Amino acid sequence: MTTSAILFTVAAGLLIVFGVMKIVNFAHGGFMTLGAYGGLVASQLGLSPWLGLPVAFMAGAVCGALVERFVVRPLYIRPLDAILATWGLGIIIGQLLTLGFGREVQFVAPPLTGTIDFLGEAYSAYRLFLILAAMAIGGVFTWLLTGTRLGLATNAVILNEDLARGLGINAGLVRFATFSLGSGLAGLAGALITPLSSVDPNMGVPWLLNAFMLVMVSGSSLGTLLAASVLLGGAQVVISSLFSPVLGGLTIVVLAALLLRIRPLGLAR
Amino acid sequence: MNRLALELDHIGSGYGEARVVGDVSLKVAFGEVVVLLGKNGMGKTTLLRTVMGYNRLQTGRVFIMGHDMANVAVHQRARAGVAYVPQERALFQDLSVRDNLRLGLSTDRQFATALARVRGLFPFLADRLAQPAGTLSGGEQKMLLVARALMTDARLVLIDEVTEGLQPSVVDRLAEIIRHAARSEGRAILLVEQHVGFALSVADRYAALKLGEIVAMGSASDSGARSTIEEHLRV
Amino acid sequence: MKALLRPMLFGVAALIVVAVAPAFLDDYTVNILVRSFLFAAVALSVDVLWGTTGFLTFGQSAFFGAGAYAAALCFTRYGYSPEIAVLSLLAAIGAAAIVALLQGWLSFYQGATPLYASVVSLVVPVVATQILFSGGTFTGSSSGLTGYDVMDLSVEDWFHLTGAFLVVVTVAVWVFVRSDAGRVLVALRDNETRCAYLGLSVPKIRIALLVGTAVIASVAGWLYAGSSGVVAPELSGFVFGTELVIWVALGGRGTLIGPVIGTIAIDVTSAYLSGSLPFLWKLLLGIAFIVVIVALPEGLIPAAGARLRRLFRRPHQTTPPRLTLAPAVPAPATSAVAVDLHDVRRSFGSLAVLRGISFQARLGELVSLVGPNGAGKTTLMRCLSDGAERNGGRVLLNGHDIASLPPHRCVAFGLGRKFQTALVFDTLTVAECLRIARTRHDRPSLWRQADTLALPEAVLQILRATGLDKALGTKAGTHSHGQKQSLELAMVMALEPSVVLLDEPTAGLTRQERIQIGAILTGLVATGRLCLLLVEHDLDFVREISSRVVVLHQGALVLDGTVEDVVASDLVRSIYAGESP
Repeated sequence: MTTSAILFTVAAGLLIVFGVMKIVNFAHGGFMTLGAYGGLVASQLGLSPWLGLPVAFMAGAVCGALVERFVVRPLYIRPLDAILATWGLGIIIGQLLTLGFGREVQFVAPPLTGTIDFLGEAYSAYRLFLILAAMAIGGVFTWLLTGTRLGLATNAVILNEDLARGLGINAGLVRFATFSLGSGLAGLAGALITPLSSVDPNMGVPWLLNAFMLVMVSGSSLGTLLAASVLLGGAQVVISSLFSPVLGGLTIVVLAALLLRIRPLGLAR
Repeated sequence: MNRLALELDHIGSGYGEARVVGDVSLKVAFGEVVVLLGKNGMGKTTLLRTVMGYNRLQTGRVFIMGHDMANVAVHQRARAGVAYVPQERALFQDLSVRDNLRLGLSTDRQFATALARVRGLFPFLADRLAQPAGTLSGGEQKMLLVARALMTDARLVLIDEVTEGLQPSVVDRLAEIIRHAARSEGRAILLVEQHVGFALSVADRYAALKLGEIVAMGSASDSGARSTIEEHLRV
Repeated sequence: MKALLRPMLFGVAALIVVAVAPAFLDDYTVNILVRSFLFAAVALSVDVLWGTTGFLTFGQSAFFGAGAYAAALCFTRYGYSPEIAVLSLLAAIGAAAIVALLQGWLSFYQGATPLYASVVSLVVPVVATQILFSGGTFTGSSSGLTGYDVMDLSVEDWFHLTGAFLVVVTVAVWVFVRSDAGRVLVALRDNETRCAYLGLSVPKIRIALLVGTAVIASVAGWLYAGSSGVVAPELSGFVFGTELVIWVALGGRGTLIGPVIGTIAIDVTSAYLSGSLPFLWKLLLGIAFIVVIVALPEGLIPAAGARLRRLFRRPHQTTPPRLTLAPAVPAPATSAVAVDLHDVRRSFGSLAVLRGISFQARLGELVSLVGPNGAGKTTLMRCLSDGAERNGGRVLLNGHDIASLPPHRCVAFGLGRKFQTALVFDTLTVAECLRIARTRHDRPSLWRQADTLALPEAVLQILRATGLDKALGTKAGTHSHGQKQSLELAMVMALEPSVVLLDEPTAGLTRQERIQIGAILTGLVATGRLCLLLVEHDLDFVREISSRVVVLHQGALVLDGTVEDVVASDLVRSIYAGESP
């Protein structure tokens, strides 16, 4: 369940960017790492670990905004090149972090310790918190997309950009906002994960790949993304424990690739 | 205020390098309905899309309410008070009728007023706000498109082949609505049509387009208008 | 032969450089260059796929790794002997080919998106690395394999061997890409749909090319295992796969030589710099990559030397091929039924666009399909030319049921289709476009550029009528809309089809051109070899050239008769005037 929750959080940001911009943001892993380091810095400064989360979100969002303006926007008509450029950005972020923090693996203490008994079994409190956090993010996003004017405009751009522009919607602005928001979400996800794993400059890469495959499978719907995260994340855990962690690590990419071969549009339709 | 809502000054446009509209000059004043007639593929839709800013202007200039539209983006034109009713499938099929209408406004605050206008135009729409737009029939979708444009305060309304595939009673109602929007509300309306009878019944002036150029122009109330147009277009 | 001269000269010169270079370089550099040469060969294979055919791949590293591990595993288990070396090389090639076939089958099918193919190319190296990691002592897991016996060659020998390998591969790829067959690859990048409708099996070509480039990468990997004596899972990883893409982008995609030089330059520099400034160097590389992608999509090397680009890109054929007349096919039994539609249906969700269309058309007929926008004319064209399009009913072309066959199989039944907006290959010359259209009749050479081009009489007529015969050496993309329409028509007629679908062939043409095209079309139909279905809005044009008119309205066939019948019909008048019938 925790795996699914993290997957969902990481993939949600990627999905929204993909939905609006039809661009896969490979710098997503980098933003995530950035968020993780944001959390790390916050905890090293002696701030409350809870404060690390908004810091991480802001770090991701600000970087995302800059990237959208200077790298992605000129490449909007060349989507494959945009993918490559964001990949290059991921490298740059990784190297900058290495230069700044060194290569070694670092740890962050979870803000919640101890266990909670639930249905007769003991669960780590932080893991439970993670699941709640993922649900909250999912909830907030669903509300943003379906309940607000901005969400309506975003939906309009996703569904038919030409038409949306004709109705007075500034598609460029919507893209900018989405990219920043998605990047911020990546940062937040990074900060949420760190207490469970460790922080190192390349931590984003494996998550990115899995999240990317989930987004491909889900089309552009948050609901299907949730289903895919639970399904494939669950499959990963099951296969890891039954066979080997290595096979488990492959579960998502292989299953997703096969799924797409059968249903090219993903699960959404 | 400038009396002209739209002025086209020798415009040429098309897709990429291809030229579909060549050297068209046309003026539309407030309170006036102008209809562009022509067969398929003659550049009517391209002309409207150029006014809206979707197609790049190759030559000439477009003025909307007196302002030169060079370097003005599509969404800015829409906000400046231009409403565009495209020919087909211009609805967000998966969104509800309500959301489709909301998207025609810049803020939700105007929605109540706008909805009252929609009720006045096509009462059935106000009762079916929750229904996904894609489940409306073809004719109902057309009416929704028109409602979305006319419920706003847009001063210039561009309408592309609204009568296509509609039953005669609806066509009559549309003619009434369009005339009202121009004469009573003072809007400027540029209409694209193939249906000559309908066009002449609502328009003040007509222009016939052939191969991207205007071949005839005149007053719709002239007794000879219909024969002039049919001769030029050979419908 | 002349076309081969330059690659050959280049190859010989490069071989001489490779032969003497070790004398001037220190051992460290020679060692590094051995590796760089092999990486360059893989980068070349990436460039063929990405730069030439437009398939962005991250997966070539998997094949490199497969080759390297094939060698290392064989040598570790069986020791070194020349026989084992040959066997391991065969194993390397075989393994790469099988993986490539699998990847190709997954990636390339009717309707696959380029993004999906790139996704699969990401998955392949990830899976490969994980398999190597989980191989335990057999694959050496994360530390890889080392300490196995290899051929007893000095560093200079390896330098010569790998250098020669790189030169030979580069020259071979260069000749191939510039050949007539290689032009098909560029056509794939420009427009896959048009390729399919010229009867080319797009998936097959793409898979074959993937297998070929996989073999190149695999042999490079095999040499790497031999020359370095170490293999590690990272060699097949997707990080290496993306590095390859970066090198190609920096070197200049689509230029072949650019990626080769770029890879060597970057790899040697990074070998020197990564010792002193490991992270800064990677950072700079990342920044350079983004700058190149955003500002110089052609890459550094072409930007640095436009002269180089002129040398290595296929030059505009200054002397385009001479046109000759292809032997005419004998006329078939006249008035056979060429098109037979029975109850063809098509709907999108709840919207029925075609509601059961049935009619027949014979050779020697020119049938116009008319009707207002949205009547289903273009949809009907699609259902006739792609078996996967319709929801119900049967379509026979020259007696063959098209079942759910893809477009290129329909073309094999004698179909030719011209699209509403002209689809031509923008970056190819007019002559090259026409040659690709002839692929089904004259198999293009894999290494040569032919100096003649045989075309059927009708095509020559179209070219003469529109002046395209004077512009054979110019790029198709530079022509006007009308010229492109004519070129596409010529390409379709070059297929020597017996059923031709034309969707608004005269849109964008001048009056003069319309008359000429009309005359050519009626002339063709009159020979009795052709059945022509025309979608046209210009009723004057329809009236002049049709032998029969079919009227569609709201997805149904409402009238099927002679031109006079239709023109006189009140029904048609009312449909066209916009009133409901």
